[in-house]
Amino acid sequence: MDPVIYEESRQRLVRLSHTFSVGALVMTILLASIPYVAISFACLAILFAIMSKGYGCKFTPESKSSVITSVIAIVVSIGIIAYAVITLFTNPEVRQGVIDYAEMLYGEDYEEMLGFSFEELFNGLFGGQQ
Amino acid sequence: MSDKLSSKQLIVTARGQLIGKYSAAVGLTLLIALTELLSTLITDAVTSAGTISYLMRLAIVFIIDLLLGVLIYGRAVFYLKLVRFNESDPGTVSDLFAGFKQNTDKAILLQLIFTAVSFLGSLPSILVSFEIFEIEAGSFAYYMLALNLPASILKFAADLFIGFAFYVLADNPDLSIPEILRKTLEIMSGNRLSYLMIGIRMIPLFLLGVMAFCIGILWVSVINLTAVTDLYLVAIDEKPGSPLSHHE
Repeated sequence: MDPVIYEESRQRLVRLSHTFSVGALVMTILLASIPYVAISFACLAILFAIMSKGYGCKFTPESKSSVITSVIAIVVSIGIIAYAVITLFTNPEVRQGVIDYAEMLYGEDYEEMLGFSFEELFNGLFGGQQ
Repeated sequence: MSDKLSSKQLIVTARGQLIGKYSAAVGLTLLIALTELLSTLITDAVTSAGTISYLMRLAIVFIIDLLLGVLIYGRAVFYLKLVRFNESDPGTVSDLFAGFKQNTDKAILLQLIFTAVSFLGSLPSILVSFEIFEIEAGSFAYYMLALNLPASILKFAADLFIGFAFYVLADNPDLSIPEILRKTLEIMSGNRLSYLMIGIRMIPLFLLGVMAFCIGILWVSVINLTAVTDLYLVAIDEKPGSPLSHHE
């Protein structure tokens, strides 16, 4: 294989890694409501960065920047998830808000369908009074 | 013996060899996975509930698994071309169907061993589904069976002994099945630890692949297979090829 084509193919992986890492960070910061997708994007970015190393044992500066971006996205996303869970544990008003929202989304029949109410589910999971 | 590469060096070599070849390798892996998935879905659709139907389903899955041997042989042909880097005959996705042109019977017979091992591993799950013995829901054994761990462990153990069988067949199409198995056992002895180490070293990448919507596994499995093929080349005293070797 021509070394130029080889380097081009490697650079394509670096660009893919960049795209996914930036995508992950944008999703984390702008669309904080979908941190799970951001974590998956960040993992894909790290994977492409590792693949782009080729024969090298170290990351090139470009792929290193996308790995750092991805790690930031993962840390922030985990922080968002942790904050949401802690809030549900500690704040009954927020918990009630989520229960109301779920009831609004799924209508009145959900209790028959699921066999339990969202109030029971959330209060059971996050320690509220049933 | 040629310069023995460590499992880490084999993975690095695989990564280097795959640059520019990922699309073909991933496409091939995807084709095999889709064939497997489609056949399972069709089997599930045509069989209904009941003991006879369940036994029929098992028989169909067994036969499909055997036939997959032809594709696995084709995959071995592709990866051998990929790691040898012969410019005149580079590996293409069409190599996947090499088993339909040659060695079809031998590929199916070799796969019979792997399929039998898988079924042996699945036996506890089958016995539980027939209620021959019961296990408590939520127990350790329950989760072991739910994740099909016995089958996976047995299959990996079989790989440690005859994991190179399809590569040996691709390189020596004239050998009979007993000769292939004897040669494979010979090649594998002394390389089992490297084979195991490749698997262990790939675990973090597999986890990363799982977290990346699970589609990341496609790329990771391609790196894993290339590293294993490189190990085979090293075991038969051949140097793994490099995409840059002709221009160095």
